[in-house]
Amino acid sequence: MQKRWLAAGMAGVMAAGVLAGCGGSTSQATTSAAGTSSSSSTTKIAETTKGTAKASGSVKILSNVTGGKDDEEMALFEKALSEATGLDVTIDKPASDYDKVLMQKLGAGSDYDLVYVTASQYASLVDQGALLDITSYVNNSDILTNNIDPQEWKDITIDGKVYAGFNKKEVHRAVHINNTLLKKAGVDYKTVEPTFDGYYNMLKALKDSSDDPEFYPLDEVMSQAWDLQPFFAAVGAKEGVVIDDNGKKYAPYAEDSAAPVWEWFKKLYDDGLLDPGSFVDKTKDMRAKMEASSQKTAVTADWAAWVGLHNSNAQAAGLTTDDYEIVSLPGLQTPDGTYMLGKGAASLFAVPANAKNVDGAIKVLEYFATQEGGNLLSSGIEGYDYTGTEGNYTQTEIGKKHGNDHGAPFPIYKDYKPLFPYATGIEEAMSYAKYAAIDTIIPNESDFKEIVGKWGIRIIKGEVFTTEGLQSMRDELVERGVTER
Amino acid sequence: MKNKNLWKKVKRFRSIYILLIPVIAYFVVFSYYPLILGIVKSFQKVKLLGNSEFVGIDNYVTVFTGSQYHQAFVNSLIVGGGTFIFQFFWGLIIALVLNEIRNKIARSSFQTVTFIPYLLSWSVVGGLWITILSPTGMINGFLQLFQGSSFTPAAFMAEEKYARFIMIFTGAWKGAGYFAALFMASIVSIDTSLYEAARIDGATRIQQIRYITIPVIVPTMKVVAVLSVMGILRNFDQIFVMMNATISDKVKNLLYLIYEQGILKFNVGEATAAATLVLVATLLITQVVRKLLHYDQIYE
Repeated sequence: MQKRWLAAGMAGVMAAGVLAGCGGSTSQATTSAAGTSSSSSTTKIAETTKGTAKASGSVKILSNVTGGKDDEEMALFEKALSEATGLDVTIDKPASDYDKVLMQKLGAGSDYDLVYVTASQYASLVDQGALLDITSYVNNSDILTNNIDPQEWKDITIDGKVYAGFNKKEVHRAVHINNTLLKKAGVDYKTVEPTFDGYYNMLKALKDSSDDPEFYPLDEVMSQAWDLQPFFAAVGAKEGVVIDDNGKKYAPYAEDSAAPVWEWFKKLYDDGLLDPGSFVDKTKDMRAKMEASSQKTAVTADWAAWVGLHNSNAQAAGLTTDDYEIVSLPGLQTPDGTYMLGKGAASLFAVPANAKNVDGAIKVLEYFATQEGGNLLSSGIEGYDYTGTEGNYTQTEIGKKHGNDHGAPFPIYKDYKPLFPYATGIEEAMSYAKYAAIDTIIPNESDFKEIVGKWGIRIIKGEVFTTEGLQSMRDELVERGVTER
Repeated sequence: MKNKNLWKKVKRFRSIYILLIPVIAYFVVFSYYPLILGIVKSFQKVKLLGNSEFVGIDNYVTVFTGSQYHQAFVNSLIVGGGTFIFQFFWGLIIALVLNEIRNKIARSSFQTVTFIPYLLSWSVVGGLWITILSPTGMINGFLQLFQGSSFTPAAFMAEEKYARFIMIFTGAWKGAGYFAALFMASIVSIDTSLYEAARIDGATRIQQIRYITIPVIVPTMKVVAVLSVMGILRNFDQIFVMMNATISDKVKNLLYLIYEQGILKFNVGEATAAATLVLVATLLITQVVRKLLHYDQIYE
């Protein structure tokens, strides 16, 4: 009997690891909750201090992407940010598993003043009452109200309240095309008709002009339905979740009206124009196939910034634009004759409910929304990433490697002027920004991607009829609480 | 009187009890405290910052009535159980084959090759198999050799019908070498005179394996089996690395769902309720396997 208890105890100890991963500290959470209502719908409201002139002391930031690329540069980044704000800024940047670290740190009551969150996490944390309402701070700050596009604030307002500032300006995604291969196929990308047939013909021409059996003209991240917006524009379907006239959430991609797009993808797959790898590829795989050294695909939909990254990487490898050039298009035309592109959901710096230095946190957010803050977040640290004098800066070798990205390749300051010119192709890709809009922020975004991706792939592969697949997609979205109809 | 005797014994062996304190403290702090805390949280609507609300058995009701959890439980049992069975026999075959190899260099080379996958993380092993099974990977390359120009590459990792088999096969491939090492440790301890006697009696190699090797390593097999079934419901890394949306219905297991709820959606109460049920299910499965294998007889 003793042995049995011993064995049961051992099993308990082993399984404790499972639970330990989900548990936080009750006592710490309770302690840190001082002043926080127990109701999930109410949140702590920060007392505004009429600007941040009196901000001082230390500010502790938990960051995922912002800061130096290594310990040495992170120390310089902290120093530069501290000197610019007059605060003592420290940044914790976990090497990996940021989501897990964020949950553990917040659950343990760690006293951060700013934490980096994605839009989906932002919605979840607001729902939990874990963030501080900083609406009055934002309204009282000239910098935050004047230097940032009001639409950006609208996009992150939940029930009339704001709980975070911005890490960067989110750019949009567009259709990327390998122009070198397209020229070889005898097609001028500017003449491609923005219709199903126009794009089909372009893809067919690319396929026919290639001798490589492993070459497929179009690659997408289908398993996450990413990014299909430039193509679903053809039926006017918006990515993600939309609220109808009755206030109910629904997914346009799952509506019967979206069937022509899914059937078009099926035709591409059947005709060997859509890479079968699309069903399992992640973004890194898709980009690897697009890059100069591979060129296993010629058309993708990706962030506007990647047009420039592909081109600058190729140029750094000694290739000319005759050897390799990526250009961009805004996708298929909507029934109204315009375009629809997906814009990145905001990446934010939220103020936790237990933040100790809210004034300091706001001051950092203000700095990020200035020209100088934008320089730091994009080009990096003067004297390390770049040298010279105003108007005559030169990037160091380290700066070139860091590619004008220290958390914000496109800073949030609406009138930001980059220190260094954008890479080839970026200007064109950025010109499509006027067609872009963000998706509705939902806490269960991962469910949306999984369900739409799964049923979309089944339709494309012909495992289910389109109407049947779309019905199943809608049913599962409702069952998992993503949509309501 | 009884208490007095007990106290006397404690006093007598006090140095041993003092030595036990760090061990007990370790388990209390790092195992039982999180375990109890997790169980407490499973009855709460947990907030990351702020007071958690007591919600009774709501989280358990959600888990028991959620079709996602049902499917994940089935997937956990099939993939976890399948991996265990496949790995067990694969490991056993490797060990028996190793025992038959007389050349020391060949034997250690073969053992090393089979053991290396166990040392690699799932990031590496998962990435390796995803590449091998990709439309441009090795498997499709072989198939193309046989089928020629009419061949259409398959995205094996996007096919539901192969999904569970792939997880079971790759899981067993990774762990078979480890099981083989455990079985080998037991096999090498067999008295060689038993084999000599069997040979004199005219036993073939197969008969020697059947009547000497396997019976001797049965206790080891039981220990391996019981320890392994404890992990059937706890396979996370492989699914995290290798799953994609297309095959999620067939392979998404309980631990991955707990990760989604607890880490990605901050729904800690529901996640801990599910984790508690995984613990209970693990205990039940372990007890059933112990009974079936007559595990306690090993020590009798």
